[in-house]
Amino acid sequence: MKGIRSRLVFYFGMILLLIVLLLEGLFYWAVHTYYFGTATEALETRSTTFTNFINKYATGYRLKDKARYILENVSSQEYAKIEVLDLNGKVILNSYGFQTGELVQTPDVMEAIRGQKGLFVGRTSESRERVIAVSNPLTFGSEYVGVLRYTISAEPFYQAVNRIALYGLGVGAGVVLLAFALSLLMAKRIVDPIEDLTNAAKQMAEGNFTARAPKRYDDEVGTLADTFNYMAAEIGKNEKLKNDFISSVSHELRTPLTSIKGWGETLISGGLEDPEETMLGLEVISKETDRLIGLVEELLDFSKFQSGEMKLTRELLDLREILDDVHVQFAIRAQEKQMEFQLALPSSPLTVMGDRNRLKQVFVNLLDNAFKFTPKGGTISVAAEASADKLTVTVTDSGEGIHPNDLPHVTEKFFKGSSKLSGSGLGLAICKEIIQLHTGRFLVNSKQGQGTSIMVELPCVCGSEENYSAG
Amino acid sequence: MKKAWLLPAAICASLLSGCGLADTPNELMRAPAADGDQKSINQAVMQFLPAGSQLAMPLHPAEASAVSLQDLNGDGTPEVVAFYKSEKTDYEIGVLVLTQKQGNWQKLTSFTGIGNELDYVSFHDLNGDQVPEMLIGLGGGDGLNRELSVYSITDDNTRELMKQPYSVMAVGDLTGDQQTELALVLHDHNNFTSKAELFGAKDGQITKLAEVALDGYVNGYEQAIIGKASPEKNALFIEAGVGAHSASTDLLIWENGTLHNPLAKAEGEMDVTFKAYALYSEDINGDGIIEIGTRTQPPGTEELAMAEIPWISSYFQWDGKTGLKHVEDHYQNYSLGLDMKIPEKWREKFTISAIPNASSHTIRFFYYGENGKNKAELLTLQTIPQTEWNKFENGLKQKQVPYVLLKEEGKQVLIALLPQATPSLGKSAMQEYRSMQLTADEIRQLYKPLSIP
Repeated sequence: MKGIRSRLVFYFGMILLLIVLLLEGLFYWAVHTYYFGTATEALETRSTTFTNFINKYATGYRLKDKARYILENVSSQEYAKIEVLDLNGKVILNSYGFQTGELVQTPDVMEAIRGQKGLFVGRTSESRERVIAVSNPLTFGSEYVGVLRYTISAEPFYQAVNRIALYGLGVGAGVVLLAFALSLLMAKRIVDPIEDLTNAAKQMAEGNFTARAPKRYDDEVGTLADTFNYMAAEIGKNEKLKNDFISSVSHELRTPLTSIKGWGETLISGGLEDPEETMLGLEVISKETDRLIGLVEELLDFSKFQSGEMKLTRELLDLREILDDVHVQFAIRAQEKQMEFQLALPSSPLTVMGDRNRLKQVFVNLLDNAFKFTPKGGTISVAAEASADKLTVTVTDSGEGIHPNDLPHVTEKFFKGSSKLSGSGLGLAICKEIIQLHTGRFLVNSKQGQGTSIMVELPCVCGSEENYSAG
Repeated sequence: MKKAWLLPAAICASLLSGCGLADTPNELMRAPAADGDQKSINQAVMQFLPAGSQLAMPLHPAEASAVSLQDLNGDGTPEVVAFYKSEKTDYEIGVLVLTQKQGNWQKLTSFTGIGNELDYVSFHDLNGDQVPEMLIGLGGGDGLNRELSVYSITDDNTRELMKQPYSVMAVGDLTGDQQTELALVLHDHNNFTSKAELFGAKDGQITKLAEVALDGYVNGYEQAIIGKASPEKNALFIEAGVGAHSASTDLLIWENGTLHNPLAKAEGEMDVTFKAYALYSEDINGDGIIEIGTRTQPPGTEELAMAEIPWISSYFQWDGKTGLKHVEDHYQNYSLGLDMKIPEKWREKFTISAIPNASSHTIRFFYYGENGKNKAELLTLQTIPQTEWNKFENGLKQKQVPYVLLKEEGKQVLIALLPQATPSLGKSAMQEYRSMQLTADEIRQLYKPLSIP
């Protein structure tokens, strides 16, 4: 696996290697220029000065005499080889006192024969030694008669430059090595938190939601660790919710089953002699079965929402009809509990595009809750009104209300709050889902001890009344 | 890139420490190792020279040098011969001979001679023992007499074989016996006598072979060379200065054991080798035979002063009897460094006018027929200072004047211009003129640079 560590070390090393090589090249060039520039300049100065001197003061001397004069006046400290050449490039005399007669035809001599100062850095033809040569023309009268040539060996300069460049290369290698080491260190600082995170994730995958990723630095990975920990906490919470739900649902399912089984056994053992008791038992069994059905339907609905299979069969409808139906449905219950149950509807139709059964389910559910949590003698009111683009239905009760801590969670799945009353904890969650499928809003407002008000907002189908009437 | 600062720091460090790593450029300057032999010989010579001495360059011949390698004792390995002048006195020339023993240069011998000028150095076998002797000519300075000494080294002993005064000298095979002879020419200013002597090997000794008296009333002798005078015969050519600036050449050949001048003038006759200005004998046409030069005045310049005459150099070969035969003519201008060979078809039908100018020279060659009655330009040679050449060249190109570039380098550019206008000449003169005209290629072939000796 090519990890971040090796990639980081590789890229970083490459970049530094490139920089080091580039700078080394520059360094070599600078040193080379310095050495050769200085040497050439020094040689040129000496050569040109001496040539000018000869041309100025030894004017009467012919080439041979000039050569003699030059030989006799060359300093014994002179480190360069001095040669006097004729116009064919033949060596008339060198500073060792020899007349070698060899032909020198390097570019510097050619330049000098043409009357210009010539400079040459390169290999001599016979020894392959690299030299620096400077040639200047010697004049007699108004004409060029020969060439004065200074030569030094270039080899010591190449050696010196190469040696310095080698030192530079050594330092460069050190820098690159150091860079590698440092980038390893840096990579460790980056990679370690990520590995910690990975380990934490692995633990979680194995089901340990209490595992937490340590946050080492306040950087992107640190933020990731925070988010990750937050996610773990949420998952843990959900897990707990789910467990609670299972236990509560099991409980909810068991209670009716227990009474059904109890009555069933009573009926079996007691025989069916007492018709009253038999009747009571059957009624209880039937009621408890209804409860079971209701519970199972809620669970089915919920699973539909979960899997996204919930489909609305939408049509144009008047919400007043639904509310009327519901009102009628709960009237008896209101009477039983001696509660005031009010319904306030506008005179004009409240047209919505919606699923009749689902919307009815919502209001039934809301009212069921309201009745459940409102004590005897309380008030429940349902009010509907239409504004420009939306319809608002508010269900208000004077029940026990919802604790402020529970308020944000009441519409969450499986939330059961602190109330002791039975339920799957799915009712409000399903209501909210349905309203949201209608592109509406579902708002819960409550003050503990004073009551709860739930507001359902649905988009209004404006000017569709005629259509509705016609349909 | 937190570590970006590291690199400059490292470079600074290496630069700072660089002072300790390497020498400065000036400390590294040394002569090329290529001539290590010469360098070590030079060092050895310097080591054996007396303190403050300086190497001395021989004046003659051209190929002689202050330090040379020569096998002088016939042992098969070369000795180093170095000439020097010591600091102590101006009138002494030293000779140092080193020999190589076990890889080291050791002093074989050294001696000094009186003189302040090293006139001549060469190594020739004069006594016939197949080992070269040292010929060293020392002089007192310009125009003064010189003395030649011949040394031989045998078994680490130096012997002076002969010592003779001379004015000019030559070395070569004059007698035709494949052995080297030495010719000395001596002029006695005071007694107005001159003589030429020939020395050669006889029974293993250097012996005077012949002596001949020369004209004693010359100003002095300037050069002597031994070379071929004809395909079969060698001769000694002696250049003498006569009068204010004139010169003449003596030709000496070896005949019947004596030296003799076949061109010697009879009483009252004109010296055929006389020239108004000196012109040394040389092999001008490269045929291996030495030509004797004279100066010819171009026609139509009679009214000019001697120094202003554009002299034609005429070269002659000995005809084998008592006369000379014409070989070729040249126009030579030393100050311009040009040598223009006169084409054969121009012979005796042309003249020259040289107009010196501050910055440029113009030399014009004319067709000259019927004593100047018919005159027309044949060729113009012109020099232009290098600095003005570009401008001048553009001018020529603009005017569409054809030109031949003869010499581009140097301080003066030399070009040849051919006449553009047709001269007004008679029919026969015109025909003659046409036949003398040159092409650009001919001009290039006729021109050669004249090197200043």
